[in-house]
Amino acid sequence: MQFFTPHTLTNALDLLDQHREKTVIINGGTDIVEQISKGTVSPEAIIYIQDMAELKEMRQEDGYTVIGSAVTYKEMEQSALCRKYSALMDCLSSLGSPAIKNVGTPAGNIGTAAAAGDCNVALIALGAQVVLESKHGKRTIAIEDIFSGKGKTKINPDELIREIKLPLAHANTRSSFIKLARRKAQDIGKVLVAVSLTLEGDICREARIAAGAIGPAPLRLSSLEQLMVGNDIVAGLAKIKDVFPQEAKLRDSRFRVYKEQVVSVIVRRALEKAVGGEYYG
Amino acid sequence: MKSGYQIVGKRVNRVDALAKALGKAKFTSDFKRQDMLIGKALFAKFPHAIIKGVDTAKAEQLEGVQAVLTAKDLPGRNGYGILVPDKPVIAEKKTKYEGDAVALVAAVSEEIAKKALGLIEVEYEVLPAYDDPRQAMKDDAIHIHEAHPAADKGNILTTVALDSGDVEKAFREADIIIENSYETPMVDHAYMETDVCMAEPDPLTGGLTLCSPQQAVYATKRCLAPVFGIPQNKIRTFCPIVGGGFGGKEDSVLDVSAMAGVLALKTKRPVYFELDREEVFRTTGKRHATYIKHRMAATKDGKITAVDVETILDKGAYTSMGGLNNPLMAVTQRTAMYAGGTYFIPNARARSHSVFTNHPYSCAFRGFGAPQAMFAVECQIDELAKALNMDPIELRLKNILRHGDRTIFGQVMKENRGLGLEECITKVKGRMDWDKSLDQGNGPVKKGKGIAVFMYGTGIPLLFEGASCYVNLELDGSVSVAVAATEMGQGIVTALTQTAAEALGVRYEDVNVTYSDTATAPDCGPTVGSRAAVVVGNAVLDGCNKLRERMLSVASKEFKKDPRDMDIKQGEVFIVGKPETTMPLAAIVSKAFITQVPLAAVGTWYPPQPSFRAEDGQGEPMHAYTFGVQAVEVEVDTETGELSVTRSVLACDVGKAINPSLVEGQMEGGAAMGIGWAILEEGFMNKGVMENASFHNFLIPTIKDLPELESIIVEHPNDLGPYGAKGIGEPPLIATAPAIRNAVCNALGISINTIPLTAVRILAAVKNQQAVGGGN
Repeated sequence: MQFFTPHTLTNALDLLDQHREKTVIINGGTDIVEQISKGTVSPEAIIYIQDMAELKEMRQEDGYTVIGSAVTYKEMEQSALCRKYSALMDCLSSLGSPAIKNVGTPAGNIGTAAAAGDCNVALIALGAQVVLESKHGKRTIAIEDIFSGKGKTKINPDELIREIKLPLAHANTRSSFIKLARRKAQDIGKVLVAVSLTLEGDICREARIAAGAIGPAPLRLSSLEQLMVGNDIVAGLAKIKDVFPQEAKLRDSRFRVYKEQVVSVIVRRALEKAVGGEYYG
Repeated sequence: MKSGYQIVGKRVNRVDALAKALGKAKFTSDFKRQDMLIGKALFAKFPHAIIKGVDTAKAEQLEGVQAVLTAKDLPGRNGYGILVPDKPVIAEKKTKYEGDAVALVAAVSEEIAKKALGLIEVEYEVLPAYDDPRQAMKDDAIHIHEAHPAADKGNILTTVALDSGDVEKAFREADIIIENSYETPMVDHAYMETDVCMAEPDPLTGGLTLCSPQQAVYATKRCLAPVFGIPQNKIRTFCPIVGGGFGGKEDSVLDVSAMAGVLALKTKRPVYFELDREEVFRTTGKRHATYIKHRMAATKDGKITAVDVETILDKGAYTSMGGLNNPLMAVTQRTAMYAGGTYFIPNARARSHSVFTNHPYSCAFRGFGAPQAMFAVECQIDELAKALNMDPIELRLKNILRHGDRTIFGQVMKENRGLGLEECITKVKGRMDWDKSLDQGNGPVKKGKGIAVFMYGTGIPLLFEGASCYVNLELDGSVSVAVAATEMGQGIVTALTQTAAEALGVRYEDVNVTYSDTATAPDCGPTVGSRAAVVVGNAVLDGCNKLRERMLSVASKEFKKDPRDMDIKQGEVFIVGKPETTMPLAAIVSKAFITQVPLAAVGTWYPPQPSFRAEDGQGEPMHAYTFGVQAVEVEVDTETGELSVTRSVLACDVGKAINPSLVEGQMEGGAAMGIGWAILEEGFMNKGVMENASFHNFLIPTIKDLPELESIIVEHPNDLGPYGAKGIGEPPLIATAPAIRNAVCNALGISINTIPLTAVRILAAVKNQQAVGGGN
């Protein structure tokens, strides 16, 4: 097994172009290192991307907050740029442990298509775009479109996640994130919901609702968004109450019935949390 | 009893605190060597199967493999166990659970050893696997052991009976009968240090040295000597400090030591054998899951008149500490013995059946059957309180055991052995503001309070109970104490250091206690049963007192005074009332050394001989009992089922706290572990396969799942304990689960009788209640 630690993006993309499917990219490594040590993944080459300064950048540019793919959760948590997004900050506060946050990255969780990846869910609600780059060019894809199934993405073997772009929040946009887990810390969510609502007075003009751990990959719940858009908040909440999202695909497990019972509760609570306490109850 | 202790009762620092805080304290796996081989086991692919054939040829040919063993290659008996040798080192004809080894490998590296395991071919004929002892005990069930050396009948290992009074009459005459079923889960001990053994043959003696974290160095060598075909005096078992045991390392040490030992004997080289965390989950012992039917009879004014209890224990695949016919009934016996809780109940019947399944063997786990029994009875008391519309504390105070009362197992309670339950209840009630109702608000979150009480005997009746140790005075006035007890985080070395320093009148710093090594110390019994500080402590006290008398006798000649007028404090010998007439203890020791006064002593202690009748479970098994009360406040989210324990107050009557900080450590640790058992932990078993064999899915509490853990120490001295002490290792966990369950019932008005109280279970109960249109 070869282990590469490129210091420039050009070098990294060359290596990827050479090794393609036989490569594993290690960013924070919180998922993949465990799989490699267990032997469930045995790559011929490992490309470690944390040493590239170009991927460590966070900046504001052309109406977006841009987060380099080697940026860790800890670095996001400490960044003033990220603080504007309530859903993101909520998500980071309950994500993993300090040790995980020190090395884990949102780009890494996109790459592994973590179905219960807290940040994947927040990023879908916030309308994130993912910029992919290969030796042969660059392309941008909406995060909810990047996941193609359990643990699968549409990222090509020669492509690297270059950066994540979050649209700058509109002044009337409210977002939130709720994680329902078995334990109060260091646990994988059983239901994850993030929402982002753009309001005009009490009317909901735009809604993005995302969920994790209720399908093979993180999902956008468009069917629920439709119930909110164009409605006044109270009316929208009344419509959405108790509706189980049709996009969910629960697998058979010990938690299936439970998830069926709580998804709509968590969606409602996330919406209420986003718009503020006054609609609660 | 003497008061004004110098060192006992003081919050001195643990002797190992600094080294542990700096990460410099060494555990077994820190003693890896260059010349060692790595041992690995191929564990059963199917939890219940007939082994048709094992082909090791390819593995043997792999470069770097030094030995591949199957059942036919063993040097001695292919069976071991603390009570019955029913667990094979390597399974020969059948696998009975996931943790049965089918073959063992020793190789020059871990990588090669693992590769070799992959080359071993095993042919199985799969049998149906039993998860539920209620199924396994049926007449038509397949016998998991084809010919068990001790089982009563089929898969029933043993049935323990307890009878007192006239139960039928009491139920006929009862004003009220409370009858419910309860279930408690099989859980892993979740000790931090995984199981490991370094085994090394001794070419001089033909013996074997085994270093492995464990709770009982003498039991280990006794159990394994026949496996190695080596006499007990040529086996040395020892360990450095241990990273947690909780009862589990009384057994798991046998597994890793047996496997490492046979590989070392075969290869004639040191073999290092370590289980990874997944293997610890799948192969080592667990807490017995229980299924309990509990009937309780009472008068309308709240006097309990009878209990009738049937308990079925999930034994798992092997006997371990699960119980056996008279007199070694172990965990099974405790579930019957504690079926009446801490109450005076004149009529009782209990039957406890220990039943084999295809689960990991159930073994000792903090509380040894008492937590399961107390869970049922403490839930029952709250159900009775509800039915009678009485306050749960008032009802308990009406029924608790007091001086002169007889337990359901026939032991008469005595204040001089420490009987501080009522004081614990009063103190907890006050601290909790028990009579003040909780503000419920309007949201979906409901609040509740709950309480539960417990008792737990110190020590291990019906087995060897007693302890010996060596105490040696050094010429510089310092003291060496050697015990075979284990330091596994509980602080026994610190407590014994305090005990010895107090007894001999030397400074805390002048005592050094060595531990857990059969080469340096005599048998003091296992470090289990909340016994070490008391039973081993008394042995240390005895040894120190012998030396103290000798030194005072020497000193009396120097001072020309009666020894009774002499005393030793802070390492100085002096005439009582004349502190200016001091002489260093070192000078007296030197005088003794040259005047043929022995400086070494064997300290021993035995409790009063326990009594027990197998036919009706009556006797006086323990010399003293620890009592306690746990109260909690909880919040329950009725929309998601999420449960938060928001307050925990625990009071324990420990007789005498040798070191209050260590006692509080045990109390906080016990409450935390109890919260885990009550709300989170459960092995997901599917036809004998553990589906959550990692800390990723087998969840134990984090600090965020725990409230501040408040501890109240109560001291009603035990006149047979060292300075009045009673055991405190296991007791603090016993009442946590029922207190939480009672608080959840208080919050929801719904009785949930199965733990853990996960969100899934709570929400199902809430939905069920809504469906039938009740609840509040």
